[in-house]
Amino acid sequence: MQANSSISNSKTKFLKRILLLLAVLILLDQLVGIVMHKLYFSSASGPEYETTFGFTKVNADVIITGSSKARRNYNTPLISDILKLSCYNAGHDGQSLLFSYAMTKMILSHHLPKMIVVEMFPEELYYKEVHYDRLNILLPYYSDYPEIREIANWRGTRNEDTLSFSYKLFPFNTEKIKLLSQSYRYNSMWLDLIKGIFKKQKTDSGYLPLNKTITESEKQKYIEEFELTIKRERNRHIDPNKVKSLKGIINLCKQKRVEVVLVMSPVLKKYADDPVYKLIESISLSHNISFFDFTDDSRFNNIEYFADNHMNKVGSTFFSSILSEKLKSVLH
Amino acid sequence: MLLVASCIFYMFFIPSYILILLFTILIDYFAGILIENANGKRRKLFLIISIIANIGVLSIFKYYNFFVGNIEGLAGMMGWHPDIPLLNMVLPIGLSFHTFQAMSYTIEVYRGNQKPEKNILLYALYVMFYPQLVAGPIERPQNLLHQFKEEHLFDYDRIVSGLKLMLWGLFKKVVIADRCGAYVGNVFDYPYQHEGETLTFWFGLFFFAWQLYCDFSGYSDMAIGAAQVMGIKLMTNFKRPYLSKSIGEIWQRWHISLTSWFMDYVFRPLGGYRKGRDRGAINLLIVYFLSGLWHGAAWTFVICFFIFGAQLVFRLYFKKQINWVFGNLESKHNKRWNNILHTAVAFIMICIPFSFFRAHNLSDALFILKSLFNFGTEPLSLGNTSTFIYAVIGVLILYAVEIYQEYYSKSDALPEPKSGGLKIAFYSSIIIYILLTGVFDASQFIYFQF
Repeated sequence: MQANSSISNSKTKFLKRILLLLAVLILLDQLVGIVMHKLYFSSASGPEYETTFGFTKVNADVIITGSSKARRNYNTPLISDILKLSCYNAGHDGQSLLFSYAMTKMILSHHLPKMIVVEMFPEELYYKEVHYDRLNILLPYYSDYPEIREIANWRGTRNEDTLSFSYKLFPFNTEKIKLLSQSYRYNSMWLDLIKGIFKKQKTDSGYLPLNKTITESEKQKYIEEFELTIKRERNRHIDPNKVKSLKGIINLCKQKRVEVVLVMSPVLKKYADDPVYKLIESISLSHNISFFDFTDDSRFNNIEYFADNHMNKVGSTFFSSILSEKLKSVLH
Repeated sequence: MLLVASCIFYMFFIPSYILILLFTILIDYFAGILIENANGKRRKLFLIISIIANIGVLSIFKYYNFFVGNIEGLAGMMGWHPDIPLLNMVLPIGLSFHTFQAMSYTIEVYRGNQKPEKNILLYALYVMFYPQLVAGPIERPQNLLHQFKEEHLFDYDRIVSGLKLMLWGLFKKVVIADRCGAYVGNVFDYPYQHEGETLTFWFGLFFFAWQLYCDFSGYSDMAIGAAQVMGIKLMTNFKRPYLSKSIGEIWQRWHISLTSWFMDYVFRPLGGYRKGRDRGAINLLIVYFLSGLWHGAAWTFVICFFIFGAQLVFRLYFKKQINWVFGNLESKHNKRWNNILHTAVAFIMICIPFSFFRAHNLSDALFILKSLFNFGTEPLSLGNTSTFIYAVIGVLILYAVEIYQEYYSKSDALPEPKSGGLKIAFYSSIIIYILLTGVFDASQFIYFQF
C-alpha cells in the first residue's frame, strides 16, 4: 500500500517536473528567438545582411543569382558600366539553384528588374545533401516570408530517394517539427552574427573577387579530386527539386515579364557529355530563353584566369566584359 | 511488447532482413537448449554449429564482396582474371553487433555460466532489444536476460538519470561529433588540396578522434539511457577513454563491450599472456586484427587496428624504456603536468592510426600520414572558421564535463546545479544550445555501418 502511494507520488512529481521543463523550454526558446531575430535583422554587413538585402531591398535593373560562382565570377560594377544599368550580384557562397529559386521568388515579390541572370554550375544540378543542409539560410525568413516556405521545407523531405535509416525511421517532414522552435531557425548562426558585429565585409554590389591564381599542379589535383568525389557518390542523379527550381525561376520571370538568362560561367574543366547540358538546353529551348555556356569556351582555357574552380579578379573581369555584350544583345 | 517494438524498429530499415535475424535466433535458441542437454563432444558440436551459423551470416553479408575483391586482385597479379559475381545487397543494420551478442549467449551456455533460455520470445528479445540492436553495447546474457523477467516499477531517479544520459548523448552526437565531422570531411575527402598544411592534417586527425568518440559514445549513452528509462541496465561502453594515461588504458575504456568480448572469447581462450610474452604478443595481434575486420570489410580498418595492436606489443616489450623516457619528462612536484603529459601522448598515439580508419583508401591514408610531418608555408587552413570554432567549443565542453566526472565527482553524473529550479533552467539551456549549435543534417551514426 505504502509502496503504491510512493510510486504514485513519484509519477506526479515526474509529470510536474516535465511540464515545468517544457514551460521553461518554450519560454527560453521564444526569448532566444527574439534576441537572435533582432541580431540577425540588424546586421549591417556580411552574408546575413546581403541575404536580407537581396530578399527585401534590392532594386537593381540586372540581378545575378547563384552560388559562389556567381559571387566571384560576375564583376557587377563592370557589367553595370557596359550595360548602363544598375546591377547587383545576389550570389551566395555554398548555395545552389534551390537558393536561386528562393532569391528569385523574394526579389520578384517586391521589385521587377529588367533581367535576372541565373548562374549554373553543371554539378549543382545533381543531388547533394549539402545543398539542402545549407538551405538553413532561409530559416530566419520562414515566419515572415511565406514565399520561401516551400523551398525551406525541402530540407526535411530530401532523403526520399536514399536508404537512410533515419528517413526510414521518420518518414515524414521532420523540418516542420524542428521549425516549431524559434532558436532552431538561427541554427549555426550565432557565431557569425557576433562576428558580423565586429567585422564588416565590404562588397561591390555583391561582387567578391578572388585575387590568387591557381598553379598547373593545383589544377590537376583539383580535377582529380573532383572526379574522385563524383565516383564516390552513391545514387548520383539529377535532383528533381533543382529542375523544379530552374523551371520555377523561368516561369516566375515569364509571368512578371522579366528577362531571364541562363549562364554557365567558365570552369577549369568541361565535363564532356554530362546529361546536365542537354537538360538545360532543352529547358531553355522549350521556354524560349537564352542560355550561354562558357564551360567549353577556349578563350578561358588559361589558368591565369582562375583562383581555384572559381575565376580570379582578372578572369572574372574578362568574362564579365564578354558576357555583358551577350546580355546587351538580349536586352535590346 | 518490447519484442514487438524491437521488431518494428528493425523492420523500418529493410523489412525482409528480419528473416536473417529470425534464422540466427532459431539456431542459437535451439543450440542453447541442445548444448545444455548434451554431453562431451556433442556439446561442442552444437556450439560450433551455432558459431558457424552466426559467422556464416556475417561473412555472406559483410565480407563476401571483400573476399571476392581480394581474390580477384590476387588472381589478377598472376595474370588470371576470374569474373566472380558480387552481391549487390545493403548490409543489415547493426549486423556485427547483434551477431556478437548472439554468439556470447551460446558460448556462455556452453561454458555453464548461463542457463539456456526456454522462452524463445525472451531469447529473441535478448538479441533484438531495440536500444542496443543497431550499435550496441554488445551485451552478455548474464547481465541482460534476467532483467527481462523482472518487474520494473516506476522509479523517478532512475528515469530522470536515464533521460539526462540520453540528452548528453544527443549533445555529443549533434553538437560535437557532427560538427567535428564537417572539418574532418574537408580534410579527409580532399587531402591533396591541403598538401603542405601540416596543422590542418593534425587538426583533421584530432577532430576525427573526437568525432568518432562522441558519435559512438553518444549513441551508447542514448541507448543506455533509453534502456534505463525502461528499467533495463545495460553495461557501460565508454569510460572517458581520452583521459587515459596510456594506450593500454584507452582500450580498457573504449568500446568496452567489444574489447571485453574479444578478451573473453578470443584472447583468453588463445592463452592470453599465460603462455609467455611472445605468445601474448601474437594473441594481442590476432585480437586487434579481428577487431579491425569486425569494424569493416576493408584493409584500412584492418591496418588501423593492427597498428593499435602493434602499439600494445611495443609497450609490452619496451615498457622499461618507455618509463625511462617518461621519467625524464615528468615533473617531481607537479602531478597535474604529469597527468596532462601522459594523457596527451596516449591521445596522439591513438589518433595517428585513425588516419587509416577515416581515409577512403590506403594511398590517401599514407598521404595523410606523410602530410603530418610535411611542413609547408601555409600550415593551417581553418576551412569555415565558424565550423572550426563551434567544434572547438564543443570539444572544450566535452573535456570540462569529463574532467569533472573523472577527477572531481568520481561518477558518471553530469555537473548540474543543486537546486531544482536551477536544474530545470540548466537542462533547458542545454536543449536550446543543441538547437542553436547542433548539426541537424542527414548524417547517420558512424557505427551503424558496422
